[in-house]
Amino acid sequence: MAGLQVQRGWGKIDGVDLCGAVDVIAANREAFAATYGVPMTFGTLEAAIAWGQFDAATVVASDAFHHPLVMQLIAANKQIFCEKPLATSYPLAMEMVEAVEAAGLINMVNLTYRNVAELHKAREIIAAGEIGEVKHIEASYLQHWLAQRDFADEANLSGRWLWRLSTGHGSNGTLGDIGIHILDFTTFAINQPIASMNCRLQTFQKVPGDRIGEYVLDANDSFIISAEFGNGAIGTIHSSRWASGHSNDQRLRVYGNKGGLELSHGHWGTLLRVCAGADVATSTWREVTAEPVQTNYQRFAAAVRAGKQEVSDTLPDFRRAAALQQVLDVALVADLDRREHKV
Amino acid sequence: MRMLILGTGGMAKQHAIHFAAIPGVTVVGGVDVDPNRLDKFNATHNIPNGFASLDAAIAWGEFDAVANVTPDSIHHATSIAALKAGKHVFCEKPLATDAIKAFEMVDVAESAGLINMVNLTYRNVAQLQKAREIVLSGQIGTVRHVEASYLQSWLVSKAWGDWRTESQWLWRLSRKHGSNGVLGDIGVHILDFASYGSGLDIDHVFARLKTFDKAPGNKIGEYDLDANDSFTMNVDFNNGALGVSHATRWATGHMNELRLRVYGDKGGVEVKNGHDGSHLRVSMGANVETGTWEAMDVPPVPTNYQRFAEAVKTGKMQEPSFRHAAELQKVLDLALVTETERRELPTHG
Repeated sequence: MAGLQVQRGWGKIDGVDLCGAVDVIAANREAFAATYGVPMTFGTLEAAIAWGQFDAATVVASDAFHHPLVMQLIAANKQIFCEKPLATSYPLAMEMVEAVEAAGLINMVNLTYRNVAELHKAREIIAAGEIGEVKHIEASYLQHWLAQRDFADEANLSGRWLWRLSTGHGSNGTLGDIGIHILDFTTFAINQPIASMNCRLQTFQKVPGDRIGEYVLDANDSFIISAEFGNGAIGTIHSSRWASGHSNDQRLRVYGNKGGLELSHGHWGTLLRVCAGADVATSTWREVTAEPVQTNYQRFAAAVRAGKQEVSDTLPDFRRAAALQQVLDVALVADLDRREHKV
Repeated sequence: MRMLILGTGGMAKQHAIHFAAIPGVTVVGGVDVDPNRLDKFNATHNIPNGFASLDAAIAWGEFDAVANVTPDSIHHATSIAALKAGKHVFCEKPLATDAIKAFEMVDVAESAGLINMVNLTYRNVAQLQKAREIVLSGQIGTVRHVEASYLQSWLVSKAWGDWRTESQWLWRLSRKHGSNGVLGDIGVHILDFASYGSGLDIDHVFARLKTFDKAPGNKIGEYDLDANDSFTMNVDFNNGALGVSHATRWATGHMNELRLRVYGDKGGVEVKNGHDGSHLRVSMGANVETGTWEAMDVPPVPTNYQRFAEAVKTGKMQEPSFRHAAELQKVLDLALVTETERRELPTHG
């Protein structure tokens, strides 16, 4: 992910200098430094902080390390860009929120789908009242890479992706991996939080015994959420890694009392369409295009340059990510007791 | 087969037309409490005999089967009376207003060994039948994830008329006028579409229903607007697959559209049925890797009407049976309970 961040973001922004890289594994940090021309490398964050000649850090370590690393960076007064999820639980995420806000530091979480211009356009259209009061929503994030995997072929089995199927290796399955994205996509577009929800998770058998070497394959593959939103609207939000025919497809359908809006996004591109106003009578859908938006990387860099975070409810900041984490935590509880829970 | 049409209101016209068109089938009588409506109906469809009650028709007795097009709450008593008189029954949906009544009808029909079918009209959609065939053949592998939706827009779009002023829509929003909302109206269609298309049975259900505010005081004239207009449903199936099903009358841009997506570990099928016709797309074999979907043309299939006639002729039952509809009714009944109790419930035990 670190390499991707550089390719898609940091490497393309003027004034952003990759001055250091931290990784406990020497081979990793050296290869990264060599590839991206990074002058300083460190085996620990402590060592990098002791050196101190950086303004901001991007945290791309595995999920369980986000909290301790970010807390250290806050103590060292550095601006922070953190991969999702912010933390592995809502209480830990809120600790990070409170600390970073108290320190007045710039903080952002890489909710990558905020880079999709049409998502911002959808939010604007809905906020402007073009489809009226939102009543009914359907959102899905479908992938098929588990259906694509041949679990019977030993050569195919690699820790590089097997960890995603194992809670013992830090994975929160589909819920943590892509659920967070579709939850953000949905709640950001309609600008409503989830007020209460029911959730079912499922883990399908991939090999007899559900185990490959050290990997116990117990992380969830699919989830279905039935939600009620802050304004009383209801919706389904669902996801699966077994949705053959969909390599990486997000879809959001929002219906209000004056119109409808549908947004789909995948490797093939993005399509936003709206049925509102005079078109309602004939059920005519019109495609809506959107001007590109700043990426999360650009926004973070701009905030650091300006010395302050825009006061805006559209930023994927720590607080936003913590709210999403709360939904993920509630989803796990709801799956265990099969009841609806308030968020 | 000599057919009696019980109830000569709206849907009865379809029954009259479709049954009369089947070789070997004659519509021999019509029954309605309203003599004017009955006479007009019989005249329109060239039906020779008219009766004011089912009892009178049974006393006459010269028919083999009954098409039950009475109001929902009357299906139970009339179907049982017809079965007890030794007549086969083709009943409109919902089979009954609750699962207990529905299963009573099942017991009578099965004990009597008579043909019993429910007019779940989406069985007439060839693309749904083909999707099921593909699923059952194993071409998409083991089903893992299912999504079904039924979207209507008549609460927003005036294309259907104005619900605020027209009783044909207002009654659907009012429980005391016999409506169980969108759940009762189209819930059985969407559940049948999903379970029939995926070849799976529903094991657990959790549903949320909503009745959104529509008018000041939620009342228009004599109509209390208290019937649900949206629902979402989480289910799991007997093989562990998960599914979502949802329906709403607020879906602007969708006139009357039923959609099913079934994903297995080797491929996917998607069926859509709406005003622009029915469509089937599949992603199978090598196409799955690239996420490529292909449209599939499907020839028409026999209708429920034709298959009922065939069943009566051969003596061999066909689906959808009373039992199948009763099982779906159980899921719908449970959905109402889960909305109140806010917890998932099993469909069996």
